[in-house]
Amino acid sequence: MLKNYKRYGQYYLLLLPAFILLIIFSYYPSFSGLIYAFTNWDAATASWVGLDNFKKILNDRILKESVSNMLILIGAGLVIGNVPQIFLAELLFNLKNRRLSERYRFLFTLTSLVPMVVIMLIWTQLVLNPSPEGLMNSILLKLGGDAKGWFGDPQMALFSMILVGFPWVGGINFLIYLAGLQGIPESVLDASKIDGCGTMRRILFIDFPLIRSQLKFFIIMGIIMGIQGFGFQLLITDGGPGTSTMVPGMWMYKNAFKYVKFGYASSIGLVMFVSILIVTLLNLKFIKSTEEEVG
Amino acid sequence: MVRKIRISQILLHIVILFLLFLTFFPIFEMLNKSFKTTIQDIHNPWWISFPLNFENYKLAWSYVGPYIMNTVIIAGSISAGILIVASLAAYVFARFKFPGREFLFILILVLLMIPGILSLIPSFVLVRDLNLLDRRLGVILPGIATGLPFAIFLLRTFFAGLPGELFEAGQIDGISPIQAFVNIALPLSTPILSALLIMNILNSWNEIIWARIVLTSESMRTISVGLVPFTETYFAQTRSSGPALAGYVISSLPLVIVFFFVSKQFIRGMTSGAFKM
Repeated sequence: MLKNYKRYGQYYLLLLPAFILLIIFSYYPSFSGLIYAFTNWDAATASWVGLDNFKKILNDRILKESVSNMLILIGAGLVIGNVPQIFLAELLFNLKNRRLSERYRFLFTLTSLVPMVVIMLIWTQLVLNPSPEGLMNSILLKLGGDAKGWFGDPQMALFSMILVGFPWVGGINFLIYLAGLQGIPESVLDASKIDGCGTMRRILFIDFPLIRSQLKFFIIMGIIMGIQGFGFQLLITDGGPGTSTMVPGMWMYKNAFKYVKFGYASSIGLVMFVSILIVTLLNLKFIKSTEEEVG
Repeated sequence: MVRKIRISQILLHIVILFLLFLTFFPIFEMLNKSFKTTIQDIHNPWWISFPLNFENYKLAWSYVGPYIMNTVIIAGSISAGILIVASLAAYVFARFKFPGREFLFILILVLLMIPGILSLIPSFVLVRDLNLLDRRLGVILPGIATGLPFAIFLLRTFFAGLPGELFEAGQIDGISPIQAFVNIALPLSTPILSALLIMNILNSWNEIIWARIVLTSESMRTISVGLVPFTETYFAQTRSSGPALAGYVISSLPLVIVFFFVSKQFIRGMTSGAFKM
C-alpha cells in the first residue's frame, strides 16, 4: 500500500508543473472573469451589479455593429482561408512534374514564414495605401479608374481588411490540404482512372471526401479564432474609421483599457465565451453525427 | 490524347505561376522599395533603382534588432516550455494508472473549450499584481499555459499509441518512469514533437494581442508589437517609407532563413496529420 502511494506521488509530481501553470494562468483568470462580468469593476473598486452589464450589452449600439462586422469577417475568412488553398492544392496535386511541384510547394509555404504583422503592414502601407502613390491606386489610375481610400474610407475599410493577402493562396492551410490529397492511396486513384473517372469527377467524389476532416478542422478553428481575434484592429485600424472595422474583441479591449470599465468588458468577454462554447458544442455534435453516418 | 494532357499540364503551370506572381509581387515591392532613397522612390516607384541604398538597413537594424532579440527569446521560451511540460504530463496520462487520472485529464480538456478572450482582462490584472507587466516572463508564462492543453491532448494520444511491450521491457530491466520517458518515448516521438514545436513557434512569433498588452516599453517590444510604432515614427520623421520597409525585411529574415535549412522537416511536421478532426 505504502509503496503504491510512493509511486502515485511520483506521477503527481510529474503533473505538477503543468497544473501549477494552468491553475495560475488559466483556471484562476477564467474563473475570475466569470465573476467580474457581474460587477462594475473599474480597476479600483468592484461591486456586484447582477445582470446590469448584460442589459447594457443589449443596448450597446457599437457592440451590435461589431457583431455584424465580425460575422462578415468570419464568413469571408472561411472562404478565403479554404477555397483558394484547396484550389492551389489541387493544382499542385495534378501536376505530373514532381520536382517542379515540390519547388512550387516550397515557394508557397515560404510566405507563411513572413511575420503576420509584416503582411499586414505591406498591405496597409504599400498595396492599399490611400495616396495616389499606393500600389493598387497606381494600377487603378493607370487603368483610368479613381484612387480609392481603402482603410481610410469607412465604406471600404472592412472590404480592404478582407483583401489583405490576395490571392490568399499558400501558407499552412494549403500545405495541409496538399498533404491530405497526397495521402489518397495510389490504388484508389488508379481504380478511378480505369473506371473512366475524369479529373472533375475525381475531385468531387474522391478528393473532397478525403480532405473533409482537414476542412472541418479549419472551419472550426476559423470560427473560434474569428470570434476572438482582433490583432489587426489592435495594431492598425483601432476599429475605425468610425466603427467600420470594430469587432467584439476590440470593443472589449477598448472598454477595459481605454475606458477602464473592466466589469463591463468582462461581461462582453463572457458573452463571447458562451457563443464560442455553443459553436464548439454544436460542432462536436455535428461531427459525431456525420461520423455515425459514415460508420 | 497525349497532346490534350500536355496542354492541360501547361495550363496548370501558367495558373500556378500567375498565382505565384500575385503572391510574391507585394513582397518583391517591399524588397525593392526598402533599398530606395526618398528621391529614388518618387522618380521610380515600382522598379529597381541604382545605386542600392543600404542606409535604410543600417537605420532599421538599430531599431528592429532588439525586437527580433525579444521575439526569439519569448517565442523560444514559450515553445520549449510547452514541449517540456506537456510531454511530461501527457506521458504520465498515457502510460500510468493512478487515482484521479480521468478527472485531471478532463480538467485539461475543458480548457480546450475555454477561449482566451474570457480571461484576457483578469489575466492582465493577475500579471500586473505579480509584477510581471513589461517583462518577458509576463508573456512567457501565460503563453506556456495557453499552449499546454492542446499539446497535452495531442501528445497523450500519441504516447498512448506507442507499443506497450517496449515499456514493459524497460520495467523488467528496472528503469524508472523518467528514464523510460527520456530513452523510449521521446526518441519515438520526434515527428509529432517537431510538428508541435513548429506550430508553437509560429503562434508565439505572430502573437499580437497579449504581447501588446503586457510589453509597454520600447526596449521590450517584439516584432509584432514594435513594427507599427516604428513605421509611424519613421514615416512622420522622414516622409520616406524606405527605413520602415527595410525593417520589415529584416524582421522577416529569421524564420525565412531557418525555413531554407529545415524546409523538409517543416513540411513533414506540418503535414503529419495532427491538424484534422
